[in-house]
Amino acid sequence: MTLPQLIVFGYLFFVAIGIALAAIGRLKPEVISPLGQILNFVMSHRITRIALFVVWWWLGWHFLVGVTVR
Amino acid sequence: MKQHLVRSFNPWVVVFVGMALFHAWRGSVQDIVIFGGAALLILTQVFGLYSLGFKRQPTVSIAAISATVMISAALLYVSPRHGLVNFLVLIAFVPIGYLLVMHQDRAHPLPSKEDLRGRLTWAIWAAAFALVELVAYLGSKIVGDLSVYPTISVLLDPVLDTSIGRATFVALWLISGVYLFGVRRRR
Repeated sequence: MTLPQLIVFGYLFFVAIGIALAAIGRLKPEVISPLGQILNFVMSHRITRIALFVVWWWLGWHFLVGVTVR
Repeated sequence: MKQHLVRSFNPWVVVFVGMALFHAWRGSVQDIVIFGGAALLILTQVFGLYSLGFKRQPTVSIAAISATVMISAALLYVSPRHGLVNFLVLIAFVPIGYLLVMHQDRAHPLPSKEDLRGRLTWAIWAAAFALVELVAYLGSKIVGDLSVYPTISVLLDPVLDTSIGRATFVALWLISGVYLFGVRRRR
């Protein structure tokens, strides 16, 4: 496996882990709370809402408006 | 003074200031403005300098959310990337976001140990993901070749230039936005 392939595999691995965590939250809520419940809690804080909105908005900006600086 | 300094070390301020400095090093002016501005906005919240906002999140009808999502998706899909239309759509989301997130905090029960465990797990996941991206970026700078250490942006750029890739990204981005700040929050 080449280095670029390994890095791509790393990204996909984290995506898979994220899906697995979301599934564990749904299937085994006694281990970790479901993602929706955690979001309900963290989104009850205004600073976190602002921060998550900035991160979400920036993703759209970065990929649709801004040009990647190389 | 010391107390003010301690309060300003809100984790999100640290993250956004770090992002602004990182983008300053990259030379990406837009990102410096976005993350630097976000850090300043959050500092106004940390110090209680700006508390305007609705008492609770405004209730937006499903029809209005659907129309906004479909019009935005159509505009973002048919217009060229990095163009004026995309710019205007993204700018239009700023006041919408303001309305959806700048309401007063609501009372909530104390988190359970499962909530705290989940929050920590997701935070570690996000930090590790960001670390892999950072290592790839630094690696590409050291060897001077983005194809050897590809960042997510480098990998996604050609994908987003295809119709199906752009449609998928726009759909996922808008759906995640509705999930985080729209319909789900009203329950």
